[in-house]
Amino acid sequence: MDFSKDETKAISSKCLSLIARTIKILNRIDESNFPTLTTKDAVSLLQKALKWLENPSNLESIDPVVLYNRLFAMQKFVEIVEDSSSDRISWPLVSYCDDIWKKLFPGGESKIFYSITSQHNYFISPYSDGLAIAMNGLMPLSEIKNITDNNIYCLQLASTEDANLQLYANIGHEFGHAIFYNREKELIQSLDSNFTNLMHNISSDVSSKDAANAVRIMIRILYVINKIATELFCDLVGIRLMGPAFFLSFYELSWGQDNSVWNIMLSPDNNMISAYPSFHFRLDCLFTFGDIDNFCNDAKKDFTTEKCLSSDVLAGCLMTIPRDHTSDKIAVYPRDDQYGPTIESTLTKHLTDIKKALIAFLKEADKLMFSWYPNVIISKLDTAGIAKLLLRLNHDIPPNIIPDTSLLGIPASFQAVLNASALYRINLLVNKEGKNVSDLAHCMGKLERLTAKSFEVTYIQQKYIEWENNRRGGNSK
Amino acid sequence: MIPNAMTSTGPYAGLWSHLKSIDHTIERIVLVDSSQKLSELDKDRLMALQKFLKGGIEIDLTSKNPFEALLSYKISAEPEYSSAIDLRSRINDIPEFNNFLKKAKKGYDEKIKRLIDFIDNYLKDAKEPELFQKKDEKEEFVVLRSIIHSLLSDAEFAMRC
Repeated sequence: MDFSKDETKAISSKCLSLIARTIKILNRIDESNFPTLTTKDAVSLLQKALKWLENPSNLESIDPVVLYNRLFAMQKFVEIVEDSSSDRISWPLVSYCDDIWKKLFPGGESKIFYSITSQHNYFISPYSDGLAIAMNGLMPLSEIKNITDNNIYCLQLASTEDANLQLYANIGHEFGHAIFYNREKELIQSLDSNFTNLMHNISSDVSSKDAANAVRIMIRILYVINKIATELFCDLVGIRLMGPAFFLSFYELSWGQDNSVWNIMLSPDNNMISAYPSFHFRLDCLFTFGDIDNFCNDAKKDFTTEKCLSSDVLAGCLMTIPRDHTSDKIAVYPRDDQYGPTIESTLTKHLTDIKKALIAFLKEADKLMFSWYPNVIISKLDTAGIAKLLLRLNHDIPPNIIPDTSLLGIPASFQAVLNASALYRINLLVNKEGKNVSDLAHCMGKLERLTAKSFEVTYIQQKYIEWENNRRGGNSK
Repeated sequence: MIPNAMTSTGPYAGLWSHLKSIDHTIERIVLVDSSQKLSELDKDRLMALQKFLKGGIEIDLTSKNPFEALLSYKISAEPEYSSAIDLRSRINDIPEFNNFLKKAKKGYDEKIKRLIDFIDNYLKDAKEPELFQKKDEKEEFVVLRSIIHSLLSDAEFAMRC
């Protein structure tokens, strides 16, 4: 044995054993615990990729060192499917979300499965495309396309907040990413039409600063603005799918941060550049496009009529969320990037015009959303119904029924339960005077259980109604 | 922690893998004296190298639809590294590239075009190209390899920072 020659052989063997071990792990995952069936598709995607890599004839032209590196990188895809378990994910809630997803992608052109993340955030990632990128350099592009042909997304939920169902409103934003990707052509056209003049001004500016690298810098600026517009579009989707509960949950995610910074993270791979507008600007856009003003006015009347708890304060609390973005600033990272300072100073100079163009883009995108999904998006929530659900929560009754003159009442919609619970929860958090830690924990726990029960009951009820309608129509499935 | 251990995630790990797999293909062509045929993966890696040398996205800054132009370059499984690396200044520092076509007094653009055409011809000429096909073409591969090696060491350093 001579490692000056045999190291490659040893690496190859270790790769093969890693592949075998990973396949074994995938085979051992308990499918009965998957929150939805799509996790199975993700597992089978991984299995197919690993089986291909295991084939000795395919291994011949692969660099063992690259394979070694990529196999470790692929472990995150394995962890995601391992964490896709209903032990930690509220199945009624993700089932509701899954129903919304199926209305957004009725042809099954894109699928989604649910997992968790230890970070305090919610992520959607293109699972199949991500795996395709991880396989770059290992497989021919034609084979990558063949294996990852089934477009699968993964939505990762914040594991530390798994009982905080109201915060799941952020799922609406995450769905926006998949919509943007699927409707990219139309949205990019709108972006172009709203940014034409501004991009000319930015381009002249960049050329005067660094003529030799102007094209390279402009390409990165285009990627940055595209990412920023995507985030704002996703916020729009969030408020249109979930209502003001998204505004509240988004605000909650901003706690403890500098909310006036537009954070831009450059990357050697342009596709991996990330860019986020400031929380203040995003909250202001949400306030406008979510029609929060009118929601609060309607809520004030209805909450008072129903004599809800803190009716005057609760209805108006959304109006007080900070959203002044006049002192916003741009920060480009990493600090040592060669073109970072030029990108930062250029975007800072044009920030006011960028904001205007983004708002114009959002107006067009909102109209497009209404034309694409007239039956999925919310234009106005029934505040009288929410008032009745708040009253039930106040009496420790699950907010699953909106009482009316009939005996059974009206089953509450997913959005009505979500919004009522979100408002009730924020009231508990803010008005904790006179409560000790155990009182507060007790109240929060009770709210979590009442909300979870309502989601479960209303979901089953909705499925029963669908089944009943099908049965009457002659379809016994 | 063993700081020198290989990093498998992060923005530079993808770049490193991308370059290393290209290097492996060139190594197979230059060093392996066999009649083994180029695989699909080898051909893909040579095309990725070609794309890299071309500098990736070419965009008209006066275009009315710059975002649309950007979108037309997107391939889902392919990373896009071109605008992060100043290829011209980086490659000009590499001695093998400097010496390449020195007698013919060729500049950067001509040399790069020669390398791109060379890969193109290599892939096109032989319907079923074989490894180490023409001995007199070896110089271009040596230059290409030295370019990839330099960029690889940059990526390796960045990956560990």
